[in-house]
Amino acid sequence: MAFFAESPNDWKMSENVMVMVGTMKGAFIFRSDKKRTKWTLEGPHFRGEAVYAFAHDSRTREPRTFAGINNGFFGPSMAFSTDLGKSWSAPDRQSVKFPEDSGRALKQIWQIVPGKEGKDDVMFCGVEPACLFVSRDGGTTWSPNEGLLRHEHQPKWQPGAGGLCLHTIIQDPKDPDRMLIAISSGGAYRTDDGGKSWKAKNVGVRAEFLPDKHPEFGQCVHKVVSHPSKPERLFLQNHWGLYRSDDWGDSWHDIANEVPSDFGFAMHMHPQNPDTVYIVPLESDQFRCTPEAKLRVYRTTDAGKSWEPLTRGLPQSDAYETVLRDGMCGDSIDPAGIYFGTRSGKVFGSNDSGDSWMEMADGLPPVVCVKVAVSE
Amino acid sequence: MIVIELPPSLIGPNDRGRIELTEQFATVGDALRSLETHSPAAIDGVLDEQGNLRQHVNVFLDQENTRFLRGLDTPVTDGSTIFVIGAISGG
Repeated sequence: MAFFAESPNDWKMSENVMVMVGTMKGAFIFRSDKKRTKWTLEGPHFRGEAVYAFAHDSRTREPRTFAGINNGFFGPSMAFSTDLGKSWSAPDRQSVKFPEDSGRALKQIWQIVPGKEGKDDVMFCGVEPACLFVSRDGGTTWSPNEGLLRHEHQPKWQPGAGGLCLHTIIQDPKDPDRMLIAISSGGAYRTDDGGKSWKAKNVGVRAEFLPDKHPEFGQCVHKVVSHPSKPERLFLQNHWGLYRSDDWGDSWHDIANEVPSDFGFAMHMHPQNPDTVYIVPLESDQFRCTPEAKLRVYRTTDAGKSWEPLTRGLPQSDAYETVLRDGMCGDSIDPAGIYFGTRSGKVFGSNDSGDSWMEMADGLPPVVCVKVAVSE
Repeated sequence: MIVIELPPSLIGPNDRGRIELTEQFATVGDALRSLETHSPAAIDGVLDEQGNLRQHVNVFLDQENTRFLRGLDTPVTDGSTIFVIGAISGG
């Protein structure tokens, strides 16, 4: 699992769950034991800077935590920690850079993902303007994936409100040459040849904001998730639309059953159950707040045939909340912990797979990213 | 001598905020690009990888904002001070 610390010496026994919350004005880290009923809060790290990406890489003997940060004046950078987020450092020169002949400059790091087990030095990051970067030395140096950098569709990708970002990176645990990425707004793309070429995988996904509602590419995909035990099955939260694919994105079909809206950003896959997925529907693209002013997480346990609202512990009146695309994540404990943050600066957590929730924080800066790591 | 003044938030722990350049430079951009050797932790915060001045950074040549002169191509003369300052639009 990507966000999994494996060494028993990583943390104190009393602090083996770490919820990393990136906000528009810094990062905050919650720590708890595996009961996940009492949390300590530390931060802000990167005071005043937006933190849109976190990743914990536990594949090596010396686990590292990465953060993608963005200074409002001086631009984006990547920082790392070797003490589980207590202190951070960054190289003098940033290595996530576009080549000069691309004409592009990095605006933001949106996603950081360790490679698969056995490829301990490989890491990926998704950035704005949309591109995939690869590191083969554990995150020290990075280079753009040429197949996406020079993709023939690239000049026609358009930014959404958050920017033209590559925000989702899904690796096939079985096939090392297969990966699916998603771009807002460009759609989903898949490579089957290790990144040499990428094909648009958006059949069935609609684009409400274009005259042609079903173009080959250009969809505003907000998030895609899958489960390692069933990688060919993907779930997709679209800018209008909730979809499932059973064939690695070759085709998608609608699963917006019994949800108040199929507009939303966040989507999270249950760590153990490949049929269980979480979303937070929003009213519409015009009013990007929770419908009926009720903060409800929706959960399917049958792969999208039906969805149930999860409300216990969440405000059900006057809650005009927004959860962004990377604002929800979970741990790998059984029962699963699920966590999300809102643009109003609230953080909620559940230690029973979403059946009930507790407010972990209120009054943080707007939350844009939530990631979790657990030590065994 | 040309002086570059950098804001504290941009310099590394071992860097100085005031950099005195003894080399000769024709333009403000040439002087700023020398940060790559004089203050490597600062240059990526001033110029992006295409060599453009970041949107929310202002560079003043003495008291004049170079955006209203010739930008990075503004000629620089001996005795000038270049101020790098976060713009009011940033943050």
